[in-house]
Amino acid sequence: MNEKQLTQLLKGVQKPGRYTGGELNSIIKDKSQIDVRFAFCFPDTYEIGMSHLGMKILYSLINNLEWAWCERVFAPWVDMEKNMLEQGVGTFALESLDDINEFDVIGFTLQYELCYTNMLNMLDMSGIPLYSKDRHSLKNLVVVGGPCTCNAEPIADFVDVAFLGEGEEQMVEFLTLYRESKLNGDTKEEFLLKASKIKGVYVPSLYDVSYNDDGTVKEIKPNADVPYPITKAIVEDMDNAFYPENFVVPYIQTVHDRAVQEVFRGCIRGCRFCQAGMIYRPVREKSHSTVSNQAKCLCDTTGYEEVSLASLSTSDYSEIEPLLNDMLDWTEKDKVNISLPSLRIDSFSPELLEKISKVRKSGLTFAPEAGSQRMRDVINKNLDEETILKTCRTAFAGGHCSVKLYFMLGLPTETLEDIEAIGQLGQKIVDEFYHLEDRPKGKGVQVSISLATFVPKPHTPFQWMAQDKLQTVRDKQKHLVESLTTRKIRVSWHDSDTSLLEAVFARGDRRLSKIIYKAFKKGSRFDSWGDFFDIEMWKDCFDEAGLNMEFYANRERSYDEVMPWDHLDFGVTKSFLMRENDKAKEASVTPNCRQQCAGCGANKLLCGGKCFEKR
Amino acid sequence: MKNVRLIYKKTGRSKFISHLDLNRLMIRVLKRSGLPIWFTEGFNPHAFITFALPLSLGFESRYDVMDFRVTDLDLSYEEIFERLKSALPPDIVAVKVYEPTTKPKIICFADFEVYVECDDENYNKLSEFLNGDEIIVEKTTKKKEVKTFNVKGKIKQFSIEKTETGAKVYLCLPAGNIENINPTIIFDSAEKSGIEFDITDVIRDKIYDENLNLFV
Ligand code: SF4
Repeated sequence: MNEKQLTQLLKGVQKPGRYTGGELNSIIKDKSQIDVRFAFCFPDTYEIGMSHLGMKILYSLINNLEWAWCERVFAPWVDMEKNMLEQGVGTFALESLDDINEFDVIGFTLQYELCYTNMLNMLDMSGIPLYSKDRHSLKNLVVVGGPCTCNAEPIADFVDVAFLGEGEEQMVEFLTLYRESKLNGDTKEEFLLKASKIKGVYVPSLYDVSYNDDGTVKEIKPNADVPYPITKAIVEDMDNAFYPENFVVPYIQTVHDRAVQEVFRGCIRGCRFCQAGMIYRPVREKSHSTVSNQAKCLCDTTGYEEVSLASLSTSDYSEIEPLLNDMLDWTEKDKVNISLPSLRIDSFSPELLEKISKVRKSGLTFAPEAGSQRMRDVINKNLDEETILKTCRTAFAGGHCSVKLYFMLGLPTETLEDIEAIGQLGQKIVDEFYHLEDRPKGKGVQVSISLATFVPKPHTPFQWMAQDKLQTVRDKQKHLVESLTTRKIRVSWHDSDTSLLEAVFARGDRRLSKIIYKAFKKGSRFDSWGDFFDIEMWKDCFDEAGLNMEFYANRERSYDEVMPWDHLDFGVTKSFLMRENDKAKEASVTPNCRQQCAGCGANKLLCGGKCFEKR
Repeated sequence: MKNVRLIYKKTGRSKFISHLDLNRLMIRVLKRSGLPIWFTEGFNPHAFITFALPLSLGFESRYDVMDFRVTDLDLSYEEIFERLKSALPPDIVAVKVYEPTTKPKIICFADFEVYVECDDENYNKLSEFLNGDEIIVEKTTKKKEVKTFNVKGKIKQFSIEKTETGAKVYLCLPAGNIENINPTIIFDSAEKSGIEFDITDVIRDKIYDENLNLFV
């Protein structure tokens, strides 16, 4: 496609800036000089994809290879898709405007389960066969990465390769091998067999799955000379790991329209519901000077006026105070704001709070996840009520008057009292405000409670647990609302239908590939966007295939059951997860990694086998 | 404090940057350039930039004007030009930089080139349409009412010439603070009267004051 055709294509399309490329720092290469073309596809809109850090890192990393060219591809919104179909244009990359079927490797990053049909649609629009077995050549190799690959089984039939773990480690080796194979004239099968030896490279077609009569998995077995289990790749030394010097700066407003500076990987907390907290173990920090220097470089090259410090739990960063001191040196001069997402309230010190409010006064958001102390102990959310109230008090005194709290409904062992405790916690925060003498004058307090539905995820201590049925979740939501006595507290929740499907795919097996295929054929797109989601349609797909959602979502599994992802090793051992699950049932907590190692097994991923060592 | 006027071209894919997005982009470009930009004072300081004549989404421009200020009086305009040039994205091209002597509010007219694809028959019809006495167009007022009026009298100058694939139409139209006529409303009207064509490109060219003197 050329620019003139693009202009035609964009007629009547909302937000044309999603599709035009040409942004600051986007990379154009001469394709005649390139051996490997990589289409980095994000199966959602431009605004969401362009906010994603992993894509920025890999874009830069691959483009640093002289012989490779990585381009960006996003899912067209429905209006654009219509125009593309009418004008016979396939999914295209923003840099060259070439169809993705011209690319050697087509990579998707899978951040959430509900994007699977978008992946199929993007391939299909370019006429690329959806099933791996129907793509015979080395060209158009379909690879996937991102957290969803920790159970890649539901999409196993579509993809040629799933990357487990952190892409910086495997990508260069993988593409180097691809280049050799391409220049050699290797077949796809020859290449895949070689690639499977690279750390973290999982080739689903080289493993067979058999099932028991009751529908559970019987066995997962390699059908060739390939590793078993397949272990994720990790970056060991974060200070020397690749980090981009610049980001592509979107023209249009994206979800996170700012520089994002990674501070560390992994998480020292062991929240039992949290997949990220488990699969990104062990924690690996960058030194504060690396963080500050990289952030400064990014702001200089992009012109962003805001930088956020990203990690799973930034306030757990061991060098947070020196870091903020370092950064304030240049951010004040350069008029750059620092934003600190996902701060955990139990690690707020008054000095830190003071520093943050000096930087930027944004909303107060906390994630207690559960209302009662018992429930918080079950999920190992190491946070007590007094800490929450103390932090609110400090914040109120500092001029804040609204608080946002995130909770989950449907957690294992949850009772109606636990649910009422959510409202009671909100009430205590409201009371705290009015008891405070130096509260902001002339203002009321507003507590917003946001409820998500618990989704049991693979590689977590709750991977065996059942998700509440839809009706139960709705009853619980209602119960909470009815238990409230003040209008100072507002409650909102996510649609629980999508949480059901999420739960199905999170712990699904290979048989779900055909469900995803059917749903795609029936027109399913952008499932994570409530506007298009149709649970009835999905139910029909399951009925037609003789499978059912409850089997995957609402059934408690036994410790002996073979999990569809048992061959995928993310460091944490099954015995650790079982231990944690047993402790959860007794509401017994586990200290964080810095206090005491819980023996999860992730240390084996590191050369020295030690998670914490003096630098 | 030193006033700076940047003249730049907005071409290629950058025509899809809306005015609001362009504003944000330019703030980042200024920051990337490392120039000592003058910020407004007050509660929420921000880089002080103004655009002389906002451009519609989808139009290219050969003469876009942006004014801003730097705090360092000793900076040469050459230096400013070089720094901006390297900070801009590929499809926004710096043309020149100098000290402004006029105010954007004196802008009254702008030249437009509209490229259309059509066959000979429709070319003739379009030519007739433009040469006629009346071009009735619709305009939505601020109160969201649709009003019709004859725009012919507002067209300062125009011409139409044949190209390989259709026509190139030149129009000089009111533009600026007082009145703005978007060339597309004329073509919408032509389409309504049954003429068939496709607009492939709209380029805004020179801009003028009320006496049709070039705005610099
Ligand atoms: S091995 Fe110990 S310290 Fe390391 S991540 Fe696991 S529990 Fe934490």
